[in-house]
Amino acid sequence: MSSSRRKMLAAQEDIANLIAELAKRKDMTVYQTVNDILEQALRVEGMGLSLREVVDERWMLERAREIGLTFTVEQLLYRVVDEAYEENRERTAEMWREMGRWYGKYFQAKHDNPLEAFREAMELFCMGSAEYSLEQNGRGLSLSFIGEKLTPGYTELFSLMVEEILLVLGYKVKDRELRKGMAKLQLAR
Amino acid sequence: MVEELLDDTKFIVVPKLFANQIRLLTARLGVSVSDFAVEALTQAMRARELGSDLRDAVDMYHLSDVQRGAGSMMVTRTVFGEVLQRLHGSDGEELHGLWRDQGRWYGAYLKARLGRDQVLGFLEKDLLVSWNLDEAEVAQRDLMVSVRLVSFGMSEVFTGLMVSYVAGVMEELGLAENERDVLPGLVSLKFLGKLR
Repeated sequence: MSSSRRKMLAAQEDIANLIAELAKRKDMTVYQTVNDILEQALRVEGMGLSLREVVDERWMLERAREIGLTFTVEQLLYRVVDEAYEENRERTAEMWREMGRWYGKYFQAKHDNPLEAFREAMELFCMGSAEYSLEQNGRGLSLSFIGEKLTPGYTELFSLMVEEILLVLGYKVKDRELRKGMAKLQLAR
Repeated sequence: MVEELLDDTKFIVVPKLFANQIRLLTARLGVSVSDFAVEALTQAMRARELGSDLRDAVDMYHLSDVQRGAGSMMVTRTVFGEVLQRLHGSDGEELHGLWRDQGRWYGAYLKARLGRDQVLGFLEKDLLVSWNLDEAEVAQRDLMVSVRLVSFGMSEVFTGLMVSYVAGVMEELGLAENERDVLPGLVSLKFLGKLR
């Protein structure tokens, strides 16, 4: 490539060294590595986003994979879950409680702060379908999730799973309010 | 490609096109070129910690954005799989119909959102991530589109529903099923396009 097609960018020494290190790890030249990074940075800015948002999302998807989540179509999920619940309430409810116990124990075993891991999981569970809020007040917790499309069956089952996770983490339900499209739980240690 | 200038500054060679674009962009954003480069590199390193890179992170963001736009959400695979397994016994045909219809809807959505020419390229990674597969390949050769999907832990029911879903997407793209070879977690499908 002729020099008229290249330019020099001044960078702090430590940054330049990091680029060189990254290039070495990727078995690429520094020029290719810088090219690649800048190309993606410009692509993201062109999408009206920031690289930080994009990488945050990548981390979220990785966490989702780690805890066994998968994408599915919201309306299909509600439909099949409601149908299964209608068909056999006790068995379906136990399935969700069991999943809750599994998550609770997983968060306890894998994280120093299991409640924080639960909060991150809630973000994933509610991504694209509901808004949630989790507040800690002394020895208690307030949790709510709201989504206009949430069906009564799904709301109830999801709430059972969440209650079971929090029971493993040492919180017992004191008050529960379930309505179409929303659930509110008050829990205490 | 890194040349020393001062004690604490080095020059990095970049393509002229990028240098100019970055100058314009940083001026618009009100940040220095150096800050922009530092942030880009920091994020590249964060992506690297995941065993990923920025290109993959951007692709995944796009994919997740499309999924959300199509009304997808996250669910526990185990619970969803068990629910489907149970319903399949009594309502198998209805479930396949639902998944096929959903595939058709998604095919139409992808065409509208990405443009017909981009759909097959996007679909490969999309299926890989959204169905949590170990391998996915969507290849086009002339009028023939081959789909090969592999998941080492996928149940027979889930595999069948995935096939119905993919068939629905392809139907919406104007591709007719020509060949099907399905085992639990191992799918090979061939579709033929219509001559224009």
